[in-house]
Amino acid sequence: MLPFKVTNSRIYKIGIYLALAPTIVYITLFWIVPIIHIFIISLTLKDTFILGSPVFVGFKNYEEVFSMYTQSIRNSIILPLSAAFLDLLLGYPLAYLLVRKKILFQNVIRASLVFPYFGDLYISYGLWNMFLPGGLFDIFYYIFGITYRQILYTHYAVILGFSIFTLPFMVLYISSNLQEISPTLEEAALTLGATPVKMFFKVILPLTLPGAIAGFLACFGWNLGGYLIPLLLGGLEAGNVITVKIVHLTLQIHNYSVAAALAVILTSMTIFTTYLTFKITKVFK
Amino acid sequence: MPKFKLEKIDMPILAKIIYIILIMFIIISPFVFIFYRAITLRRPTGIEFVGLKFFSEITEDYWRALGNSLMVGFLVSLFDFIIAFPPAYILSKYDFKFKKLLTAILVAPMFTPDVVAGVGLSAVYFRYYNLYGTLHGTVLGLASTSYPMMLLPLLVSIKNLDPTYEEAAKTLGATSFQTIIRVILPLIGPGIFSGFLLTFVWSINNYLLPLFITGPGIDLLAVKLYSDIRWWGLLGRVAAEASILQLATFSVMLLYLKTLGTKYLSGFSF
Repeated sequence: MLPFKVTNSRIYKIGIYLALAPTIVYITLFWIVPIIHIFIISLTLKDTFILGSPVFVGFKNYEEVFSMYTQSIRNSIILPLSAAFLDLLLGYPLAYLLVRKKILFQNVIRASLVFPYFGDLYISYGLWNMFLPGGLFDIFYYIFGITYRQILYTHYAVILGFSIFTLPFMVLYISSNLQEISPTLEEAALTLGATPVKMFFKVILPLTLPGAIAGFLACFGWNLGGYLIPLLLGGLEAGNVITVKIVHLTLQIHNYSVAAALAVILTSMTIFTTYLTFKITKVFK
Repeated sequence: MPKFKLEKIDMPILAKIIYIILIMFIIISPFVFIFYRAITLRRPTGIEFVGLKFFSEITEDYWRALGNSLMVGFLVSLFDFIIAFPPAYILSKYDFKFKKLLTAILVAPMFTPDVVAGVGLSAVYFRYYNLYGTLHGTVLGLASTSYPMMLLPLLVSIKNLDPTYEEAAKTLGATSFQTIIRVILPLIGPGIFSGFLLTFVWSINNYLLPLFITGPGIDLLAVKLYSDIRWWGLLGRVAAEASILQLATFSVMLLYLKTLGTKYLSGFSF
């Protein structure tokens, strides 16, 4: 590709590593070292590491986590999973429409899909306002004959907030997968006598499966880090997720070690899902 | 055009329209409802329109925080660019050992939950770096989780670049440094712009990481808004504050979409 044959020289290789050096140093100092330190803190007693004289207690904090915070861990798995499933149901038809069909205001719809990326604050605050009496959902409460307490501060409200937050990811992953598939395949299936339903399940679904799975995992991984949505919409019971517990333990109780143990669990969950996402997108390509 | 047509598998038009309206309603309504709350007042007798009354109640330090936030956002974007350009250029042009590992390590911070990064950074800041509560500490910390958003648009734009421009510059006698400054940077301008806006919007809306590393020293808008939401909740003033930050975010994103479209966002799905 290059006009000059420098690819084998040693200077060239040193040059590459030299150019990468500042970035690698920065990442090591501000991402890898903190992540390693979370693991170290999780082995110490309360806030002794922060105060300067760490007392190591082994895996005692993990015992506390697995005896006292099982509900948080369970919530942290169940809520993002159901949100990712809801995203799949909502996002799949939308991605298909955006890629394959001509619809009105296509660009407006694409544009408005970008907003939830940055809108953690607004989604939770807006939904909270809407769910409370006097908000937008009063009509639904009236029609179905329920009170707001049957929706707000339950799992349903958190799942709705989570699914709005990550819907763009699902649509992005599935539509970028659909764009790689030629529409002639669908036409061929139809000319050969498949019904539309059969065509969908035999042709489109198997081909877009990697995108759907990757989108599912990405939604799950992003929602694991959601903080304000479960806090405002979930109340005490449904809002009892790992992130909320970590913030509570660090900023209010100053029990950094248990928080770090929870953070290690959360990090291993996200790293595992990210690894799976990478693996799936690579394998299917 | 084939005769059998794909219209066969079209959902009925009405169902399609209803579906899209429903999705749009679900996505947009929380954002719009905050604006609505900022200009109305609920009373037991009904809803009263109050105009910009709540906006005039916003205190002075909130506007100062807006200035701080914009400055920090700009600095974070600038630092992200400095950190992300060399790897983006090298990853898209050359092959070398550990390339896949390096790519994974470079993109992984985007998927780290802010809480985790916050706990780790605050511990390290307290113990070793002595950066807690300072401006450069805030900028460096925010950049650590946001630079993949700069890296991915840059990767997309450098990969789409025609290599002949670079080769022409080199055959005509330009050094590599001159080539990068004079040829490549102007050509990938839209990618840089897109990365700038994404990281800017990301960092002015981030409340969780500054909560851990900024401390009381510097007021940031998102952090202030977060604590106001937690303390004052449904007060009209809080809705007005939220809608100001929202308006800033929306205008930047609209500028982005108007000039660049959604092309560079495709990098986010690898």
